[in-house]
Amino acid sequence: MSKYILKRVLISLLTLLAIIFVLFLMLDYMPGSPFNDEKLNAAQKALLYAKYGLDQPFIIRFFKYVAAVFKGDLGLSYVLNKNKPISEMLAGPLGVSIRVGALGMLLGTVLGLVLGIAAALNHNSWVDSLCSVVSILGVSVPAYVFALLLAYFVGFKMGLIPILYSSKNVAKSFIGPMIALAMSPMASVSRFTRSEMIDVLGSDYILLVQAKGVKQSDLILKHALRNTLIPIITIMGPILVNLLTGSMVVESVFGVPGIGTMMVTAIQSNDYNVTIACAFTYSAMYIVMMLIIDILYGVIDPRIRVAKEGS
Amino acid sequence: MSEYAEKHMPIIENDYDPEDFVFVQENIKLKDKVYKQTSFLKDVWNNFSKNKGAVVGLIIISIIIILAITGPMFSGYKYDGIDLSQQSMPPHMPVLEKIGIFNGYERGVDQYAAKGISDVYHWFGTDTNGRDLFTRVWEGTRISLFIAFVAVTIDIVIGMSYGLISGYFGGKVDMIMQRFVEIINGIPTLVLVTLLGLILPSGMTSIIFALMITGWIGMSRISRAEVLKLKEAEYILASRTLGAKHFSIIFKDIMPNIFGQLITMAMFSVPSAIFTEAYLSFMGLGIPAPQASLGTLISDGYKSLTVHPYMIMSAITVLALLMLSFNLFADGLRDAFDPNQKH
Repeated sequence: MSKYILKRVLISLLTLLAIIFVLFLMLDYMPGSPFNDEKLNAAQKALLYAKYGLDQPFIIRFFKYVAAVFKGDLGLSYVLNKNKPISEMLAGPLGVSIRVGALGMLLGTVLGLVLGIAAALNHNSWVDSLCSVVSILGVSVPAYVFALLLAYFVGFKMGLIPILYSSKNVAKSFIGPMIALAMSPMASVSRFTRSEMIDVLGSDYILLVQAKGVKQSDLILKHALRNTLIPIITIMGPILVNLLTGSMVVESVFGVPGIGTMMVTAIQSNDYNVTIACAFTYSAMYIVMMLIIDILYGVIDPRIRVAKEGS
Repeated sequence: MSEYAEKHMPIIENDYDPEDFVFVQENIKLKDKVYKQTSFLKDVWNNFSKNKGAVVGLIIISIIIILAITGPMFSGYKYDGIDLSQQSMPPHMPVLEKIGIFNGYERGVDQYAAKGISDVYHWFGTDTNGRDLFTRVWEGTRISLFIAFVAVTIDIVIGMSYGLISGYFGGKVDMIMQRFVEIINGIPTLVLVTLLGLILPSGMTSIIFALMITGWIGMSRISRAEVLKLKEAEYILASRTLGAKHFSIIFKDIMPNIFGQLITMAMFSVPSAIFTEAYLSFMGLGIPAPQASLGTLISDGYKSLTVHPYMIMSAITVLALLMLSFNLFADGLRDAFDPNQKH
């Protein structure tokens, strides 16, 4: 077990290093320079380059950058917030993003489970068809389309939710992004729960439980649901990826001051350092979550561990 | 009999009759049935056509593709034809206007009559530069589809070769190739695509390149898994015994057998490529104006969402329909290629 975890952690660290390298490479090849002011003459530019350490060779800058990143120092912003450390700028938005994402995930998973179980219990009825329709819609329609539709119909036409985030009413402002983000997890979870639940309900041990005369609610919650949940952990990875990507645009549609919005603003104002830092934050979150899921799954299902150790 | 037995033993009545004991098939002569021989493709089609959702998906895709090709031709407008006298006109369709939809009304005023051009028809309306949205939506659909298909084709070629080689040779080769995949896979696609969009010059080629960089991994996974299954098969052993080279075993014996899965996977990749393209455009890294893609149309329409909602609705509807029907189609295709494997 510890060997498996160690291996996973090592691969994650390597990935992180590879990402830093790719990001740094891109930073180096970004068009233009951070100092685009035409009033600057060559000498002034050289001074600025020296100040920010941009005149040193690539390798040295890379290792300096890696060391700094591991210390939590992501550099300075050149454009958005002149000379402000990015790690300070990120702290607030990161919290907001995580909160919105976690709420969306939670809502989506719970709704998906309920819908999936209902569909499995009423196999081949209208509940089942409803579940299929909802899941195919949720899987195929991107989160930001939901966000736009929500913002227009529920937000603008009906006036039920605020179209734009306001810091005065945080709880209400979260409703829109939360629902938009919940659609994709809900769809995948309900789809998966349904098929797993139908499988489990047809198995012998459920027949035994039924024969013992256990109540229907206990049968589902205590006996069937547990075995249904294990495989669902496998799809948590793709779900989280969808959530992360969804959050980037959904945030900017609703104007939520999270990492996604910050990244879009940074892209549009050519603040490369901030863009790279946002990208790094996203990647780091993603890697950590994937690591947790992998380890969790190894703990729950020993077969996976063995298979992965073997390969 | 004890009191207990009297109380709990069921009373057996004559609840059966002689008909319960008739032999089945007593008077039927059993014969072997001969079925007509069907080809693989026909089997696939038979399985596929049983799935209603998939057929509907296929029909919608066909209609959209036909419209994407012919739409800009018969609309009578050009996708980049700016007409500043007809800015932000609501949808106006010849027949449907009689029943009260697409009648050119916005906020209770017939915008076309107000400008004295009641005989001008913009089926989906016009954008803020007076360009006909019907033309632009189908032009955009065409470009989005083109980008998606090219990217997916490249993905298939790269991913399939990578997966086949990695799976077939196994051992150290496989180990190194798989670690590489794992590391690339560790980078969130959209982050990578966004950054590539930033450093590459904006345009179609850059978007296809960005989609290609990340898209092949799924393909390589599938083909590797299939090779691992197939390479122990007897016909491969036979082929090897006859002296076939690695290259011909991989590409002539194994590859045709995984084509079904790859096509299915490709059909699942098309909507995600379209989505990624739309996302890039939304971030402001898409196709440069005056050309349009579904993504740029959505991000343009988004700017006037609360004032002229119709500007975004046509593009969003086409995007959602396209992604939905590709998913339905791919679902059906997967079951048709591999009916034993229920999902």
